[in-house]
Amino acid sequence: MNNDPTILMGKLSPAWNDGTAKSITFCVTEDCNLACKYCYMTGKNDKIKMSFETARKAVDYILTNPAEFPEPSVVFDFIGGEPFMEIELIDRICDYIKRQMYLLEHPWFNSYRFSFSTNGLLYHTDKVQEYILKNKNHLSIGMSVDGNKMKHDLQRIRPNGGGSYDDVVKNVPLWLEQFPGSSTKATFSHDDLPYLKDSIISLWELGIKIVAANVVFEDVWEEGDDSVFEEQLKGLADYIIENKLWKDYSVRFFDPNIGHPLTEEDKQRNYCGAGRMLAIDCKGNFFPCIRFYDFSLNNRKGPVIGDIHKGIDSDRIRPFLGLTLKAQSRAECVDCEVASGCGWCQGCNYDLAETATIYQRATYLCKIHKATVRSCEYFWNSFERATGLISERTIIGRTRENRNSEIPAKYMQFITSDNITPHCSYRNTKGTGNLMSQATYEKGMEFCLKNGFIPVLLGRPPFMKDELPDNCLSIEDAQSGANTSIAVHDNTAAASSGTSAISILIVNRENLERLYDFAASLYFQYRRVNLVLEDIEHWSDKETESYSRQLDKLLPFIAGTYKKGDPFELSVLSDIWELNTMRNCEAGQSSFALAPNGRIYLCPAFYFEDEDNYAGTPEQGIHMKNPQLMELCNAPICSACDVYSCRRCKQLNIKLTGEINTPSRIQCLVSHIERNKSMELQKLLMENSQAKFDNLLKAIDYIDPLDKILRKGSAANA
Amino acid sequence: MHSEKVGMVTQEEKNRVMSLHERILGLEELLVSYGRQANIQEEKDELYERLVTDIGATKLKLQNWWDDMYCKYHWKSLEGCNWHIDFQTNEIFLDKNTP
Repeated sequence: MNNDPTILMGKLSPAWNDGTAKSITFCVTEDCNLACKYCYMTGKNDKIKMSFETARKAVDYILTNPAEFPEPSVVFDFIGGEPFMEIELIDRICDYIKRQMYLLEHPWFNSYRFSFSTNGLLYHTDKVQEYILKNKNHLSIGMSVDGNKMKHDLQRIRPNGGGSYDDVVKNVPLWLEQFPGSSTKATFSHDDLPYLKDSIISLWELGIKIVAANVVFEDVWEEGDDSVFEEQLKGLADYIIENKLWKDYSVRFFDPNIGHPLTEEDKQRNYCGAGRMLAIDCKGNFFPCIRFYDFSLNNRKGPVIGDIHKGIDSDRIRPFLGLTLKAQSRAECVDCEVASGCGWCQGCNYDLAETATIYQRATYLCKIHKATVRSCEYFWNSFERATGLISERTIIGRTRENRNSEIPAKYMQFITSDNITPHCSYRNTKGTGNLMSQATYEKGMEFCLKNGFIPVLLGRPPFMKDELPDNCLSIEDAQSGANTSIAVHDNTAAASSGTSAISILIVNRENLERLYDFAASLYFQYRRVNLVLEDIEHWSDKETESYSRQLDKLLPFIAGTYKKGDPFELSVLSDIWELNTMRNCEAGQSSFALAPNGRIYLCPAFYFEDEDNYAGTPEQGIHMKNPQLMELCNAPICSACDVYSCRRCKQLNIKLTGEINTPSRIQCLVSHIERNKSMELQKLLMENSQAKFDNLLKAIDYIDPLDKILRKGSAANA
Repeated sequence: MHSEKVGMVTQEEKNRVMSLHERILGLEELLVSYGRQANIQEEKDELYERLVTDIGATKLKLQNWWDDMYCKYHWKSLEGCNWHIDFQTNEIFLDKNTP
């Protein structure tokens, strides 16, 4: 099996700056040179236009109130009607925005875009082209083409009833040349369902490879529409499979995220960004989004949330910011088995709700969504049969299943070679050089998929030429040059060329005195460093004192990073602050390791210590003896301890005490040194800032929890 | 021309160079607006001068960024060839002219 990350099907163009920009929309005219039948702007007219003075006041308000617009980037969106009918006004507004951002030294000057949704009819005109040339590095232009000529002309008509397809399509090559990789939004409604398959194919043939197709949210659907829709989508699925189009073409209906049960996280999110955007109408009134403009609503007046004179009324925004999926949906939608990807429009909800509320979700497209889910599933099942690959939809489904069942994620570490750089308390000291074969790797990946494990590659197998498979993590030597999830610095702080934000720092006895230097150097590369101390079984007082001194030296350094607002997390000091229960070593519970010999071990340390002490194989599964001893509740010394961040290395336990559930004294001493230094750091941070902690540490009078247990026992026996 | 991947930078380093790059593009496009007779008339000469100076200073900062990164990472380099950065992946490429 293999997962190819280059498959485009179902994906949309990534949003600029990961969608973090503030969206500010100017409606420059309520006029349009088309009269599309499905358009929600039912009140369009040729009378109302924005004046430059109104736009100027809006820009002044926005740019001089940065506290109300804290986003690091901005997209100024221009819509109508048809925005290019007012290109001269837009040009003037854009020049004013640029000038003011520059003169005010506004941070948005270094991060802005102008965005347009156009019907494309005026795209080729001199004035529009001149504007594009002038602002070419800051533009995003979407052109609406609905599909083939039949479908497009059925809906996107001129005021005289004639179709617009021919005039729009002749501008598509110029548009794609100027904005390569652009996508279009094709909208489907009751009338045009029979043309869906041909429409999507037609758009692809025009060179528009990504189609963000959608259906209307309004109450337009009739009995049997879902069957027609499903038949069309399945026909499209067959066409894609027959012509092997999944790598280079995409349509949103086959998004692999569609049709899964909701996670708790999903239920607390809102699908729509209304309220986080700002939409300004021609008169200078502010709205939560364009769908709330007066001329976009049929049954209600648009809810104004401010204007260019008085600014934003923050109370009017609050209901939008509080919206969650759960709060606005009926129970059957929240608990629906195929709910993910089922959307709504906040403005449409408001327009159609029984009372004037945004908290009542319209569900007219329920049957259409379910038809989308069946078709999406059909496509990805066909894809799996045709390619032998596991589809992203299958992987997403299993990952979400695990999340929903509240079972912690399970990880399978792939020891790709005996010579991997260690990432925890182990090291190959036997000089063996076994490599994981491709057959073992593939069996391991199949085991992961069937049993809900997330694969974690330790090192990179030599046969893997491409990027990592999706849903797979990697831990590799920082010097390998590979793009890894977590980079390992093995007794060095030499700079890495990777991009991971997290690193593991391995420090052995010989380098203990360099701990401060290592950690301080890594701060400039990583936000977080997980410290692993090697060979603590050989530590004496000399090493514990040295470790203590090094941590002492790090305390003011780390406190300084918090003070300057760029905090450095060192696992052994900061993890405990967020823990209220013991963080168990997950070996043998939610984490296992597959070795080059094809056997599964509790963790890599067990493999390198004794190859015969394995827990299973991918073929036969995992069969452990006394699995209850893995659990914290059956580890009496650890259960009595409050150093919740302790590593509790199970392999070290068995090596030094003979019992997997019983820590050695040195393990407890090291952890308590860390606890005490962590407490000192907490105090330092609280003196210097308003820092708050989930777990506020208190002084204790022991450094080995066994002493505490024994004291209690003595008292009981007295 | 073909490109060879020669390294990567951190997210913070990418953000810094992207900001400088965006600033230069913004300055150059604003300069076009000032240069035309159309929409911006007031303070024309004074701000035109300021923009030109700012473009020069920002380009210098951009060059310093590349110099600093080269010192830090020691990427492969070739006489007469340039590096470029992919803002999506943070990867650095060496652009080679093919005969």
